[in-house]
Amino acid sequence: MGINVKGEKDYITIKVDGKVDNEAIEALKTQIERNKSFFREGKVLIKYAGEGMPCKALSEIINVLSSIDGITLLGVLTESIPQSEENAIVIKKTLRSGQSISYNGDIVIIGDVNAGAEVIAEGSIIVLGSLRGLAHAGAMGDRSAIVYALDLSPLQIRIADIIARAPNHVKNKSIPEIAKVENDSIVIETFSHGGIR
Amino acid sequence: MGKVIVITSGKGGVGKTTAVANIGTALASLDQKVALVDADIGLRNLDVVLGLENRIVYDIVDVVEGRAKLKQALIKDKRFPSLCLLPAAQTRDKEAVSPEDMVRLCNNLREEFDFIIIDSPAGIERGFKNAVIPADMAIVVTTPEVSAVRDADRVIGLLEAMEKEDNKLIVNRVRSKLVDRGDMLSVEDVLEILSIDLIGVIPEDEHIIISTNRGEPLVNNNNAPAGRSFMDIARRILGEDVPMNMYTEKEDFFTRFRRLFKRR
Repeated sequence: MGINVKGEKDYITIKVDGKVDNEAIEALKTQIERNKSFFREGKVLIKYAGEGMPCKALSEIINVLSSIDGITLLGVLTESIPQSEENAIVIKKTLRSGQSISYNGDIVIIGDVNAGAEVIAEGSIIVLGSLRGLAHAGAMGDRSAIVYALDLSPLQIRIADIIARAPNHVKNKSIPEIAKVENDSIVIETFSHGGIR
Repeated sequence: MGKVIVITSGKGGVGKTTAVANIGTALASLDQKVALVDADIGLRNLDVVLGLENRIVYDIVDVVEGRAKLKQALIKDKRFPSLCLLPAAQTRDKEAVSPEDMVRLCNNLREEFDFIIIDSPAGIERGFKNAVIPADMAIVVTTPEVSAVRDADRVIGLLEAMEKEDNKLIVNRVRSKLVDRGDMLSVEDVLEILSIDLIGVIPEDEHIIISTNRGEPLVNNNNAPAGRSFMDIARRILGEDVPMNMYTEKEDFFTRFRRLFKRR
């Protein structure tokens, strides 16, 4: 309960847990007073364990912090920021050779993924374009992740811990396809209306 | 104010230097004042391709380090009075010039010339960055080979990361016969992967080998398909709307006749 201060590699986190009362603020004040040199010129991230932080509490903490020289606030994090499954980013450009995207959720790419580029997602990967590079879905072990592309012709597809190589023959039609795990191996199917069965 | 164009590719041997020499001479023969800058320090070639090797006194590193004035180092091509070359140093390496030096140098050249064309070295390291940083426009050269296209893709990605927006593509050494047979990537295949604007297609042409060895640019030779294609590129750089032509060697009556029949 209360306010906890912790040093990270490049910044300091102030963890706020539960109600912020006068007592907690006083405790923070004394802690900062005692370790002024630790805070000076520092970068601070405020983390709040709850859904949205009360403005009053935040302003009081900032008041305390602003008494120190050169301190910068990196941001305020609350737990209500969606994590994992509901989490996706949309990338509106073509990934070229040598470029790499990784994300702890789903990745949607509006553009191509060229050979030599890589996309690594903890969730699924959807490419609205040609997928010619490397795609690794479910990178943290989620075998239910899928890879979908309007033209699925990667050299390699990885889902969780399973790796599939491209067939040696050249595909002559580009049709939307979907790759998923079935019985410990990756299968590729034509994608038709009605979603994933 | 002149325009700075960098010609680059990632992969070596795809025809950057040939493109610089020929586009440069083509622009000069269209009455533009052109400066060619060889940024391939330590592996200079452009002077050889232009046939100006024996006239080098000072080079780009001499200018950057203050041993020579820019005017002293520029070599005027006697065949094309409005064409100048700033040669690279051969006894130094890429570290001898910094990106800031290149920007300053090109800004000075802009006042004198209509076009400054930089010959970028192969690779994506310091030399590449030096060559690209001052450019207003980048022309990426590739051949219809998977490896060259892959490298071109990488380079376009790096150009975009350096916030260079005006990027054009030359597909060099295209052999129509192989493409027709399906044994070579077509220009369309290359464009589908790279998805940037095409500024020219250069057919494979023996005249290039001869002209490179002799140090004589090709653009004034109307029999050379590659020379005509480079001239078209120069016109497009000047803003003219030139249709994409795939020039071929002039054929005698008999081969043309046979080809007509082949086409059904």
